[in-house]
Amino acid sequence: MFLRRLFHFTAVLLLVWGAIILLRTSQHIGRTYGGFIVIHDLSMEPPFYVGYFPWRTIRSSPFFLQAFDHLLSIHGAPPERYPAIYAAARPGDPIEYRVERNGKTLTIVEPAHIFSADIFFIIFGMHYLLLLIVLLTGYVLSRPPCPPYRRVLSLFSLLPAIAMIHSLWAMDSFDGPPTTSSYWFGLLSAPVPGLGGAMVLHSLLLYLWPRSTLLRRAWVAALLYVPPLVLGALIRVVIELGPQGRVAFVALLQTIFIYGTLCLGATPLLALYRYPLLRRSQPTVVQKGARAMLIALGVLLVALVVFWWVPFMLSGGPLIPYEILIAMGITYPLGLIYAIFHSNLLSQAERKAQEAEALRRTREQMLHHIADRIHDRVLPELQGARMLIEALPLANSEAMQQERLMAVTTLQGLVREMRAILDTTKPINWSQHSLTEVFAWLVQRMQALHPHVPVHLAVDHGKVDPSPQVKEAIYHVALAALNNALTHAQAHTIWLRLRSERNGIWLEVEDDGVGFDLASIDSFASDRRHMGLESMRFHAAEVGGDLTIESHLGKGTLVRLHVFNEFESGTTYSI
Amino acid sequence: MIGSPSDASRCVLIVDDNPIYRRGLRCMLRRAPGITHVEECNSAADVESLVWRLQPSVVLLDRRLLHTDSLHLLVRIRAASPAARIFLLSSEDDPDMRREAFAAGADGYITKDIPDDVLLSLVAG
Repeated sequence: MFLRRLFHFTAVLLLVWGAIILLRTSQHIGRTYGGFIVIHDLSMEPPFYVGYFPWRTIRSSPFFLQAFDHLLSIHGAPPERYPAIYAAARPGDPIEYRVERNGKTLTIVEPAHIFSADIFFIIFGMHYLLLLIVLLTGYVLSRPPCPPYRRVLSLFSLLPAIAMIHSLWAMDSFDGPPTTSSYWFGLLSAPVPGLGGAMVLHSLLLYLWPRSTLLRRAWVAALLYVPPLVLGALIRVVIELGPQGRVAFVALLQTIFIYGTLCLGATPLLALYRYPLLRRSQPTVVQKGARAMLIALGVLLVALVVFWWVPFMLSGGPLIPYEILIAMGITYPLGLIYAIFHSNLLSQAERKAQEAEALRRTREQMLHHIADRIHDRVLPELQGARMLIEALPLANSEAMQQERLMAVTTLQGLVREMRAILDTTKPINWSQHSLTEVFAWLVQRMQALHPHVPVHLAVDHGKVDPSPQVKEAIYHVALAALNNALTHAQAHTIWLRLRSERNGIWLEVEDDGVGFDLASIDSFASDRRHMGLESMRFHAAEVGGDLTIESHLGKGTLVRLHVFNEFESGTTYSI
Repeated sequence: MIGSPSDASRCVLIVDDNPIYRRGLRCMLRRAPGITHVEECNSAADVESLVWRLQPSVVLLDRRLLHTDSLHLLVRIRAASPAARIFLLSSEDDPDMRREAFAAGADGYITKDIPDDVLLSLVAG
């Protein structure tokens, strides 16, 4: 509730502030906005850069006015006309001037860029529109019911909004005293493209691993946010270098853009990887991820051209760093908006996860019901019927004896089958039992049902704490593989191995049975007899695990599952 | 259903609400050497009086009796017949249920699909 109120309060404040700035700018339509001037001190070698000066500074400085007056006099303009010439100065007017002052020769070596207020009003208008969209997006994201990652994301959307307002503020008040905020504007705006991408990625990570420890969250946040902040600070440094730092400036700018774009592109890639239900095969993840990255890059490029290159080219003259930063402040929110809306993948992932959870609950309830019926009726009655038949007086006829024996054997087989079904459907409280305990029990049960096939269990204890979902998936894969080996493989020996490593958990179920042709099995995937394979694949996919099945006729079968570790619980204990 | 007290020392009492299983188990036990008397009971209401009357040497008690907490019933049977060996019968082979059974004072936990010879050896002691 506090986060939502904080977002609403800040959003309203920014909107009112932006509207005031926009109104102030509208008063200057049709007038010259201002200019920037670059001065080199030729008394020093190499030439020393002095600084950029907005028009308001130029007009308020007797020194610069003297310089411009002299320039105009060179061009033959009478002094009484100077104010009119200043007012009529057109964008891109070149000004070059040398002046002796305090024994130094100052030379204006770059043109002063004179801008009309009109184009800035248009830019400000678009800026404000984008501000509205960004805040609207944040508002939509913060509407209840919203999970924690959305509340964080809505707050994140305030940062580009603040940067935009700040840039408006820095560009405003050209008729007033020079603002001191341009320094902070540069610092605040430069990292925005990188930070925006990092924010989206971070919000996804918070969503995917909501139970991560505070330390891990802080570590991930630092990893994500430090690069753009450092690059942004470096940009501010190279701005101070002036034209000499232009190459470094562009390189840093591009790096920040690439970083932000990579983060944006990683978002759908990660969502697809983490939620296999969103995909059907591994190549699709790569394709969708690559497409998302290309779209993000394309949107950024189009936005750059429309909101930056075209307006400033129309205004004339080469770009200077502040102009680029202003353009970035306008451009990047588009990329962020795209990313936020593109991250509807998150919504899809949420929906799929909810559907999967509902399906899991329904399945569990059904399995409970089936298990109860088998426990209470089927298994005892089969066993009771078998004992009743065995208790019948022995028949004289050999044929009747055979039929009696057949009935008893059939009932015994059915009891074993019921027991196998119960073991398969048995719900396990994974928060109380480790995989090691359950696997020991499973092997014991399997050995009781199939005493002629030894099952060797090898568990390598590690310091990994799989989530209950991962434990359940591993258990079901092992169960299906064991059932396949015991029922169909005609195996002499089965090996069940479980080991935990830093990069995840490995499960292997190997038998020395007859093996099978995997291709022919896959071609009949809908055949219910192959539900074991389908079950293994389903459970592996549910936790994003890699399942491989190696089998050759006459050479046995090896089922291998690898599930990556999750960044979840702070406590660690063995599997 | 009510047996003779004279058979008490060699008596087995089956408490289960499934008639077919109860009947089948009774038939199987009757054929076993050393067991002279087998009694059935299908509800918790009659169990205590039966136990008082029979003082059975073995009680086979269903773990999931209808509307009854079998573990609570086990405690009552134990109070009524301290010398009886009480086995819980269940279709489920669940480690937790095993632990609960032994904690409640059961002498054994038997799954209903156990082979006859194993069951008989357990009952024979």
